[in-house]
Amino acid sequence: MRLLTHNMLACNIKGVTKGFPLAIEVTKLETKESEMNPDFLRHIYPKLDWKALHDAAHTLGLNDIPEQVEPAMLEDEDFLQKFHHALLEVHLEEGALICPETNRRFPVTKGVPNMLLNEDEV
Amino acid sequence: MAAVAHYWASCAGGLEFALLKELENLEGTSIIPGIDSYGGVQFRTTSAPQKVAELRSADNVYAFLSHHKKIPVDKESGMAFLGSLAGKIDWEPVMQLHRLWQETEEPDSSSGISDPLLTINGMANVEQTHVTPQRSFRVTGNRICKDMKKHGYTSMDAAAAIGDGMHELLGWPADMRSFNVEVLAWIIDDELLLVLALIYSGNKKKTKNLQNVSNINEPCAEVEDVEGSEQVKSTKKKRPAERPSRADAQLYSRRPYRKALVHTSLKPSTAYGLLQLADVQPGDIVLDPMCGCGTIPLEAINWLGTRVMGLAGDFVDTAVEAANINATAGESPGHCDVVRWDASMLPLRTASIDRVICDMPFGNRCGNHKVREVLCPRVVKQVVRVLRPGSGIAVLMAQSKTMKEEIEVNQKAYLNLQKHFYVYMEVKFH
Repeated sequence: MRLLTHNMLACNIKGVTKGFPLAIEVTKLETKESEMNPDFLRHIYPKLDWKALHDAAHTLGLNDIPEQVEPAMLEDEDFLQKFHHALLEVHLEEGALICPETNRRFPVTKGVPNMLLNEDEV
Repeated sequence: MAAVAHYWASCAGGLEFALLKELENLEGTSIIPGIDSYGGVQFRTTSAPQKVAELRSADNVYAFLSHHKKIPVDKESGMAFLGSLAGKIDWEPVMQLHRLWQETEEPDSSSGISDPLLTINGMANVEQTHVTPQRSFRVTGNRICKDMKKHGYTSMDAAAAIGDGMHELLGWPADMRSFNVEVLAWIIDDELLLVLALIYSGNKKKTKNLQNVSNINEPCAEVEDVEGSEQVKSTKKKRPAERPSRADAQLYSRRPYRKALVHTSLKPSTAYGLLQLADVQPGDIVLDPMCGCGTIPLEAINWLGTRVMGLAGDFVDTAVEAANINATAGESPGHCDVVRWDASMLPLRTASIDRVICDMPFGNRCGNHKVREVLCPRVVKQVVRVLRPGSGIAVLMAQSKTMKEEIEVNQKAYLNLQKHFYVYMEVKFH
């Protein structure tokens, strides 16, 4: 699971109002390098919850994601590389995602989060 | 030397628009209209086979042989007509094209076909047609009755009649199992389309390494045999090791992400057609909430590379496993994540997704009618919720009355139903 996906995932247990962002429990991380596409990054940036990305990156041990982004930074190659790395290259292979409101644990195995709910949570 | 080659490219009926769009961008190509009963497009091109093989919306490509309307359907004149077909075809350019494709496939000519030039120079076939070398062949007949009761001949009769005509003219030996050349005869009522296979050969040693993730635990019921279910791999049948199945030798079989399948796997060519409809933009998140083995988002990144992000999710563990195998297979051209979820309760933020493209469960293959009619409208509700307002687009392929109703309800408030048309997923041949 990449942080881009994490930025979209939310807990949907019945009654939960603050199910985003999910906290991350890291057991195993993997880095898979890929070609950076600045155009993609510029297009995706406005769609992200930046604070959630910043905090998630921090949990994963990536501390070079700034808390705030100025428009000029999206033209800066150095920033884009760090952005790309955090958003797309680091994978949570084993661990869990945790609902901020209920503390419900959603396990992540082989990079795949299991978001299925139990009968009583529906 | 760029000779003009004459092709028939097949695709799911209804998705020809995608094929036509691709052919517009294929150099030196002209479309030949006039054949509408079959899913596909007839065209001529000077582009090399490698370029033609890149067509994403084509199920397969064939050398075009002939097309006839109002063919006799009674036994006697029908069989006579079919036997005469071989003599009406100019085989030289067809076999040149066939040879070109075989060379493109296997440049080391391990397929055992002797070089036709050598054969001609060696005067080996002086008694036969002076341009066509010795090769074994088979004819495969398919026959459908749409608006008529019955043909006076079966598809096997038709194939035999055409085959006899070919053998008489060309002298090639017929061999149903081990053949270099395959001619396909598709009959719909009194219309006939005759083509020659360019990819599939009974002789091919290369087999696609496809693993079928066991479907034991899937709620989707029985594994159906044959009719239209090309992707079914029965664990009972044992196929001769050397010969690939027809399903593995389609143009779309070559997609690198197509490693693990589920038994209702969508064809990548159809997935591409749906993606074309969705008008995917750079920076889009392309979601398939019921992804099966992940064909749609994976086709998106295979086509658009790092311009988009794929998000594939499914309920069933075998599907998720297959999608994950495919998403992490080899050198991926882009990024796609896999999540296990219930599509009727998507764990996604509201208004977070740009494109939802989905082949919804339908027909007898996927669960039962009741389950589907409850599930589909719920999924539509979720799709409406997660799509970005104003710019979000969903392309949903389904056969569900309640889903249609749900869309209509949403249309008044949220959705703009742009297009509603039909795609023929399977055609049952006799």
